[in-house]
Amino acid sequence: MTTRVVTAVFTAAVTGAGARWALGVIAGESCGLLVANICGCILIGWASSSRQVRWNSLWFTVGLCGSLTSFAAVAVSLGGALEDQRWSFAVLVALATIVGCGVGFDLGRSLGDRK
Amino acid sequence: MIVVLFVIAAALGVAIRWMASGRWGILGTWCLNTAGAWALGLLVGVDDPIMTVIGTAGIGAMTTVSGLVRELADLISRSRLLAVTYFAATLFSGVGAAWIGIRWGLS
Repeated sequence: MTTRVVTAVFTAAVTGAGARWALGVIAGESCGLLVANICGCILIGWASSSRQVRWNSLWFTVGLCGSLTSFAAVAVSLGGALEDQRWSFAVLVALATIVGCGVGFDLGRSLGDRK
Repeated sequence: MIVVLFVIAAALGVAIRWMASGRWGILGTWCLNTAGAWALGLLVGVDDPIMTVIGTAGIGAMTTVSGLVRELADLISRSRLLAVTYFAATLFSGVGAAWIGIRWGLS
């Protein structure tokens, strides 16, 4: 593992986390998190496609996409909704995240596989 | 100062995830996602600079949705049952851990 790779992963991670924070400020906590998670899944889907092997590198997948998305924030959003008995919000957040991220990954991979 | 701490926390978070998922695969991702959900739950209500540095940067970078989705896509091609089990385990343990964290909250 070279210093260059480690630096690239760390730099991408800071960029990803910064982008997620900025989206939360701009679009609101829940909406910004959803957008960040879906964008991260589209990007990692793109990197996972067979035609985009050069994007399938650690700085992009582990660093940028990994840090742009956050499972803990989604879990806390759902846990908080359950604690406050906001059932409809919990279902909405869960469905939007699961469907959005699943579709986003497939969309990214399809776009990456296009000639 | 907050920017510097944000950078350090995000770098630490990704380093932990990188090592854990590299060494233990999906088990590492699952452990970090669950532990991160619990830790972030503990921080709910904590003042903003601490939450931004530890919660958004550190724990946020340590846990991942994109890595989880990619692992699920890889698992589906090998075993649908394993993929569904992994997804359900992550979702239930993560939300449960976050709920416990919120209950134990430091705030």
